[in-house]
Amino acid sequence: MSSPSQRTANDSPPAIDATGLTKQFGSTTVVDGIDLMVEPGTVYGFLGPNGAGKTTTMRMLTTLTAPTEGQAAIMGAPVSDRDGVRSHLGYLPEEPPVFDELTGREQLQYVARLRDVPPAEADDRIPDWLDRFDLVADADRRIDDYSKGMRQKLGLIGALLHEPSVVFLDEPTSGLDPRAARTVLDVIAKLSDAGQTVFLSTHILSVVEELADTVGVLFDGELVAEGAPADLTAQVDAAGTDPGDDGDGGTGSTLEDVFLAVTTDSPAAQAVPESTNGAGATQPAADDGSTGR
Amino acid sequence: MSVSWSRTRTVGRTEIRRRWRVIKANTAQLISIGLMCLFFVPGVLAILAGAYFGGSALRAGDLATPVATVREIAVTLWLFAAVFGGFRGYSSLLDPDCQDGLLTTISHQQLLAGLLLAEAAAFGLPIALVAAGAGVIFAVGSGSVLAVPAVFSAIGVLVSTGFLTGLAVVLVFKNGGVRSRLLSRLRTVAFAALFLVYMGVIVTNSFGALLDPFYWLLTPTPIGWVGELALLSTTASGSPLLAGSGLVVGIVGLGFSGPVVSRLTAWLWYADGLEPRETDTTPTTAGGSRLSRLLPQPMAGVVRVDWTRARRAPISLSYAVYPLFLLVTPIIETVQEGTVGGGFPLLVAVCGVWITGALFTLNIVGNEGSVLPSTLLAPEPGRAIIGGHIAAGTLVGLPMTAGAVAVLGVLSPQPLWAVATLTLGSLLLVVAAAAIATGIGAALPRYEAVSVSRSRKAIVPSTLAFVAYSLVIGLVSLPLVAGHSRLVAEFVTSMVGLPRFGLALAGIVVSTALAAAFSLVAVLYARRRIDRFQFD
Repeated sequence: MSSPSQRTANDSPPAIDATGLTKQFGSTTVVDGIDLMVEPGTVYGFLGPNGAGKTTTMRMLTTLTAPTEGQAAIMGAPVSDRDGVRSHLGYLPEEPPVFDELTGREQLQYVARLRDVPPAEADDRIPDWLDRFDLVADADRRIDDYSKGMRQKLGLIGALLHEPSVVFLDEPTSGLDPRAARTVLDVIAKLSDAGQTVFLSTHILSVVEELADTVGVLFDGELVAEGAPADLTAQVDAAGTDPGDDGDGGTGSTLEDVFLAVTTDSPAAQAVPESTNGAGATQPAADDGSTGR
Repeated sequence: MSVSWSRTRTVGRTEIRRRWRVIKANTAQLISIGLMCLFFVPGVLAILAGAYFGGSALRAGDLATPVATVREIAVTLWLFAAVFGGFRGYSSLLDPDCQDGLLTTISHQQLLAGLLLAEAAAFGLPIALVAAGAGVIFAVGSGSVLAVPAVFSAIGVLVSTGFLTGLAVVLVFKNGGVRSRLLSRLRTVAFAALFLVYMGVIVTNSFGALLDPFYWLLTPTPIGWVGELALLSTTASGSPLLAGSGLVVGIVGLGFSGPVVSRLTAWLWYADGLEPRETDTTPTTAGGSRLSRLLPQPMAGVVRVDWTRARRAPISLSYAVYPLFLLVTPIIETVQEGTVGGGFPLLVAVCGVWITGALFTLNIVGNEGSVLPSTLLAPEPGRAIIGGHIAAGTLVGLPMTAGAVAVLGVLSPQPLWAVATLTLGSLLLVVAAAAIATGIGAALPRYEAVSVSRSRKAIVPSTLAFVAYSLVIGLVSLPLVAGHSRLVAEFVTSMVGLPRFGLALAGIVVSTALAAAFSLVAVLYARRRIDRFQFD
C-alpha cells in the first residue's frame, strides 16, 4: 500500500479515499472526521464496538447517506456521484437483501440482470457460485424456506456476482456454520488476490486478524487506531497497556487486546490509540505505509 | 446510470411475480381479491352503460350542459386517480423491500421506474381495458369513430397525471415525516382525523359538498378541459382549442412530473431519518407514578408496555375496532334524525365490552412474541401477565365505554333508571370481558405475525379465539341486552307481568353471574397455562 505522497500520476486511484468524513444527525455526531485510504487489492478490517459508527460510515461510502462534512471517493468516483460509485460497488448489508418470494436462483438472476451481467456470463457464474457455497440443491427453493446462513450466503453471492472493484461486507460470516464461514474467508482471500478490494466490518476479530492487510478501529465515531494487525499488536506490547496482560511484561498481544485497549474511555488506555492512530501518530509509520493516511 | 428499459422491465416483472406469489400463497387474500373484482364488475358495467347513454345523449342533443358534464367527469376521474396514487404511494410503492441493496445496485430513478411499471401492469392494464371499452361504446353511442382515441387519450392523461400528482403529494408528506419529529408524531392523529372526515362524509351523505370545491377549482383548468376531448367528435359544443390545450398541458405535465416525483423520491430514500433520541424508560411521568401506586410493579410494567406498543403501532390493534362498523348505521340515523335511538346505547355497551376484552388480552401468550421466554422466567409470570393485560384493557375501555353509554343513554328516550342499570352492567361486563379473553387467548393462541397492512406485520389473536370470544361475550351480554330491550320488556311484561325495572335488574344479575363464572374459569385456566407453559 502506498501513501498519497508516494502516489504518481500513473497510479490507479485508491479503492477508498475519505478525508474528514463526518456524519451528524441533528446535534449528534455519529462519525467524526475520519480519514481513510484503502489501496486496490487489499482487505481492510473495520472494527468497533456496537454503536461506534461503522454502519453509518459504510452507508456514506456506499452512497446510501450523504456525509455532513468531508469527502470520500470510491475508485476515484466521489460518493456524491452515486452512479459513478455504484458501478464499482458490491455491498452486503447486515441484513442480506434477498426477496423471500423468489427462489435462490431467481434472486441471483435478478441481480445479474440489474447489474448488466451478460446472460451467458450469468449462466456460467451463478451455478459456479451456488456450487462454491453449497447451495446447488436449494437453488430452486424459495428463499423464505432458507436458513439465516443460507440467506447470508445468497446475499454475499449477490454482492460479488458482477465482480465489483470494491466490496463492502457488513458481518459477512454472521449466522454461518464453521464450514460456510471458512468458505467465505477463502472467497475474501481470493477476491483480494484477484485485485478486488474488500472493506470488511465484523466483530469476529480472528477473521480480521487472518485476512486484513490493514485494520481500522472506530470508537465513538473516531478512528482511534489504524495499521497492519502486526503493527497494532506490537504497539500494544510496547505500550504495555494490554488489558489481558498478566504483568510479566511478555509479548504476544492479539487484535482482541488492541481492540480492548483502544475502545475504552479509561484515560490510561487512551494512550495507546494516540500512538497507533495515524491521525495523531507518534510512532513512525510502518515501512509499507499502512498507518499513513 | 440512465434508466434502461431492460432494467425497468426486470424490476417491474420481479415485483409482479413477488406480489402474485404472496397472493397465491394466501387463500384468504386470493378470495378477497376475487370478491373485490366482483364488486367492481357493476361499477365497470355502469361506466360502460354511462359511456353508451352519454354518447347517445350527445348525438341526440339531449344533454343540457354537455361541457360542464364532461368536465366534471374528467375532474372526478382525475381526483380518483390522485387519491389512488396517494394510497398506493403511502401503503407500498414508496417503501420497497431490500431498499439499501437495490439502491447500491441501481439508481433510484431506475428502481422507481420499475415499481411504477409494476403498478401500471397491476392496475393500469385493467384501467386501460375499461378505458378502451368505454371509448368504443361511447363511439357507438355518439356515432363517431373518432370518439375511441379521444376518450382513450383523455382517460389516459387524466389517470396518469392524477396518479403521479397523488404520489407527489404523499412524497411531500413522507419527506416531512422523515425530517420532522412533530410531523412524524402527528401521523396517527392525521389518519384519525382523515378517518373521522371520511366517516362524517358517509354519515352525512355529503360527498357532493366535499367535491364541490374541487369541481369549482379544477373544472376551469386543463384537467377539466381534457374532458372536452370526448365532445370533439360529436355535435356538442365543446372547444377543440381547450380540449387540445388540456391534452398538451397534460402531456407536458407528465413530462414534468416524472423528474419532480423522481427528485422527491430520492430525498425520501436517501433521507437520514430523524435524529436518534435518548429515551428514559423509567416511570417518572405523573401517569407512570399513578400506575405504580395503583398496581404492583410487575403488573404496572405490563400495562406500560401494552400502552406503549399500542401508541407506537396502533395499526397492530386495528382488529379491535371492527365492531365500531356496527355503529355506523345508528350513527347515520342519529345524525339524520337528530335524536339518539333507544337501542344505540345498548349497541355501544356491547361493542365497548367486546373491544375492551379484545385489546390486550385475547392473545395473552402469543402477543409476547420474542420476549415470551424472558417473560415466563419472571417470578409468578401468570399473575403479572394476566393482571397487567386486564388492567391495560380495562383502564382504557372502562371509562370510555361507561362514559359513552351514560351520555348516549341520557340523550336517548330510555328512562334514567335504565341508563343507570345499563351503565352499571356495562362496567361489570367490561372488566369481565378482559378476564374472559385471557382464558380464550391462552387456549387458542397465535404466535406468528400476520400482515395487518401491506407493509406491517403483527401478532394478532387467532381466528378461533375471535370466534370463541365473540360467542362467549354474546352469551354473557345477552341477558343485559334483553333486560334493557324495549321489545323484550313489552313481551315479558305482557306474559308474566314483570315490570321493566325488574327485568333490567334480572338482566344485570344473570349477566354478572355468567360473566363471573366465565371470568373465574378463564383466569384460572390462563394462569395455570402460563405458569406451566412449555415450549414445544
